Amino acid sequence: MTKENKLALAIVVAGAVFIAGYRYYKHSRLQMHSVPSPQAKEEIVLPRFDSSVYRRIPEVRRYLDALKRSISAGEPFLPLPDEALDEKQRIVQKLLMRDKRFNADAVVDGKRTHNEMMRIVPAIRSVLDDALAKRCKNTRCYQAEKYNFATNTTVRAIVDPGNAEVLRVERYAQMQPDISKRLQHIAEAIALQAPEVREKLGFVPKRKDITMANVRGSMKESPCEDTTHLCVAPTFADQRKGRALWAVVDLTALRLAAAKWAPLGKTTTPACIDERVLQNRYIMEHFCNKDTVLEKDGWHIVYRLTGSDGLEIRQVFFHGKAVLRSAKIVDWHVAYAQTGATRAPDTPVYVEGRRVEFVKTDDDRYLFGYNDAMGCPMFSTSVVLPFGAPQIRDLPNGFALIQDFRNPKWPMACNYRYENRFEFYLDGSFRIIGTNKGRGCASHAIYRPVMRIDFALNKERFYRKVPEGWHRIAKEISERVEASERFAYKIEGESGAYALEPNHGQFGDHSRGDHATIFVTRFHKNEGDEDFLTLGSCCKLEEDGPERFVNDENLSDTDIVVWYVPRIRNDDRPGHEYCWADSYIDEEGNLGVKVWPCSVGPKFVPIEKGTK
Amino acid sequence: MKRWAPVVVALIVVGIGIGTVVYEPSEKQGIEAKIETTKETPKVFDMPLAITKRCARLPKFLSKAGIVPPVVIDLSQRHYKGVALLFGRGFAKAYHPKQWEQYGYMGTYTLDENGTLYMAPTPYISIEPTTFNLQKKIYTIDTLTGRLKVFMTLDDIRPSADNPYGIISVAYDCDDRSLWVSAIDRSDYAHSRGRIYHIDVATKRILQRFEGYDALTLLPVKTSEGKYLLTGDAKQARLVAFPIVKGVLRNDPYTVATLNDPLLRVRKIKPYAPTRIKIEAFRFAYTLVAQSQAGSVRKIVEGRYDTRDRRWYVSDSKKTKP
Repeated sequence: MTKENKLALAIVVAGAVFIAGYRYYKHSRLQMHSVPSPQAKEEIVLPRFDSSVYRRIPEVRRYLDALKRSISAGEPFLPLPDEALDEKQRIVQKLLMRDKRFNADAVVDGKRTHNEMMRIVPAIRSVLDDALAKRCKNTRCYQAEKYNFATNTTVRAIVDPGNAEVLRVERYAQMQPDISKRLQHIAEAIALQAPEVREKLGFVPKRKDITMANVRGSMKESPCEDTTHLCVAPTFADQRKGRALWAVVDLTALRLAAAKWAPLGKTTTPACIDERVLQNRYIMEHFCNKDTVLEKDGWHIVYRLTGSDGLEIRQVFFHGKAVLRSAKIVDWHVAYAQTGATRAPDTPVYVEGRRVEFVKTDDDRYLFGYNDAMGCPMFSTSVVLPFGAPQIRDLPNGFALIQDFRNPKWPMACNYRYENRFEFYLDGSFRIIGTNKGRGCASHAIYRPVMRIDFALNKERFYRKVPEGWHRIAKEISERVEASERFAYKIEGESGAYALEPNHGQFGDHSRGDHATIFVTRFHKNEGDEDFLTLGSCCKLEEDGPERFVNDENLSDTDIVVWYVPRIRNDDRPGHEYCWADSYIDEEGNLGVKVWPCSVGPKFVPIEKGTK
Repeated sequence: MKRWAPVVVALIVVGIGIGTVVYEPSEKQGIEAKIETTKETPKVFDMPLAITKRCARLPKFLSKAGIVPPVVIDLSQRHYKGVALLFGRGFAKAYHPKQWEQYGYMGTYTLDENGTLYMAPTPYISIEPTTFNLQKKIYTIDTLTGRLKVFMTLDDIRPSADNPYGIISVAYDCDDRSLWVSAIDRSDYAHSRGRIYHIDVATKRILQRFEGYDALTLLPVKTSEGKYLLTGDAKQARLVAFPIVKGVLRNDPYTVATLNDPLLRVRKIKPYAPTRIKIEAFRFAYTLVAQSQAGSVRKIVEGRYDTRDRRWYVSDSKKTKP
């Protein structure tokens, strides 16, 4: 090869390398850019321990005792202790104890609510209008603020103690005041006792470790409040590592709501320590479309939160034997029956933000409702969001994997709370459970959770129980589940067999039964193996959704998917409530919630292959 | 001389190759796109706005339809799917042909000097089989006929179960008769993969595609220092401005103002004086909840420019908008 040819070759090679490199660079820029989340470096801690521990703290116990005494004595609010007040402040408190305007919200629905005086201080100019400023020029006026924990309302009064007169009372709904020294002390006690805080700090903290000086100011009217609860954030600074642990204490529920490690410094100190936001971040970073492996009692389970199919379990093994490829509740159809309607509305109707679907029935009724997708709290198509992370709870004969999903305003009307629950037992059986905790829009509701169960028994066959034994089902089916015996169906594969035991109330959870429809289909990846967006109508009761996958395909020695759709009617009759929730004022004057859950779902029991 | 021929040929081949690669359009459809990404620490926007006369005109079909201004363009979706025009005393009357429901729900609009209404879609409440496809299109209502139609489809938009949004905002630029369009599909919890498109209205040609930033809303504005695109950041509670130099969006972002409530996201920007901006903000987490939850009202926030500090500040208003 001549020198010139070698040079030409070198030019071509160099050019090719440059072009390849440039294309790669350009392509990588075109492929979008990964901007790391600013939250990624922060660590969020959600409570894992029983919150009843906080009620045993001496300061909290004394506080609750004082609250109960105050309520039973008929006081309109829990007063500040006399020793914390000077003479003028005591006069102000006494005047306000008797003031009807100030105490107008002391009783709600005939029950005394948790009202508490937060502070009594000399009035500052900014809270006085010109007339009051003139009035208070020659006499010292005071401003007093109390908080109603049940209604999340702050009431402020301007008082002239010299003339024993309440000058003005203003009410601020959905707003929280600066907290009292007493509550600050309680918040500190809760933060100090919280097992999660101790665990994260790595030592037992003392009161002197808490930085709280700015908390009252920064919490007021800030987003660092649960929308309906009074929350504060005692902070433990770790100067050496340049970070701080923010403990969000919910003073309405008297518990640790969440905690967060965040870097110290003005620019990085978290402006927002809202419990909901912390939960959402934690869930997004740990469970949304991210697999978590659980090994317990011989079970190997991979679980994750989906975009709209709730909590999904995948790759389930029992003592090394494959059981399930996937199981999840893909949707809750919610329908309400309405009689006497002559026609559906012309324009779309929304109830609490959901588009309502109307379906006319043959008997001149209208069914209306919607489909509730459960899923990740961010970047998803769900409308019922996870509250807290998935929980693992021990059972006498195994354990349960649970995820709570709620509408933010539950238990208000037209807000829903669902629980996805998978129970795994020591004998290799398991149960898939959908629990509805109300409250819904009205009575006469029909709920239908759509359960998708994909077995991993290899070369599967499906059987229906008949009086003569097991009848093999050769083609895809859909039918109402009729169970005259314990087991209604069984599925057999190369690696084992499971019998399906429908729920008719025998599982000790006060269930009124499944009344389910079953669909058995051949596996196709695009039939729900990935996240489902929608599946079927909320309100066409003759359609559950999976029927679209039933098209006469062969079920012999193949991967079979079982769709199980229970049907529940709610009940709001006093004494018979089911799938229902109600709020009430509890003995401490706070808003409580009474839940009457309804649970449905089949149990799968391992059986010998070929069992008659 | 002949012996240098291979070298010359090699140089020509490599030159053509490099030229082709360097100047090749980034999209197969042949759009001219300048790829930019946002910087992580933007500068502070230290200037007031120059309020110029808007070119927007109301659609011409209104008079034919017997509608006398003032008119409210209702995209709330609470009573009317798609778009409706409210007019009359207390805006109690509505003009809403059924045809305006054809392409689903609409999120934002902009008007041009001829009264053509351009709209960006939005997913709403629940996902239907057509929902994702509808998020790829810019819609328009013809100023003369009042017919709703697709103005343009952006095929690179890919909504999904993990992020159902696509095109989210549209703003008309009177200076060069173009549209600024933002899309936020493909972004996830850790990554911002949004785009801002600059589209010539007459030719429907994409003049620029700006990547790596999620804008919930857009508004071209002028200042004494030049022209900027004001944007509402979908991932942070802030208003961000990007310089527009000779019609090209520059990757040189400025933070105009940060909202006091870090959970809010700017959805609408309305400057009404050189030192005043009305901002509508709401909670947004790339789910359908923000769009559908009743009571998830928009908060009205006031942006004020302090001429002494040369900074923009925001103060929360007690006002909310359903």
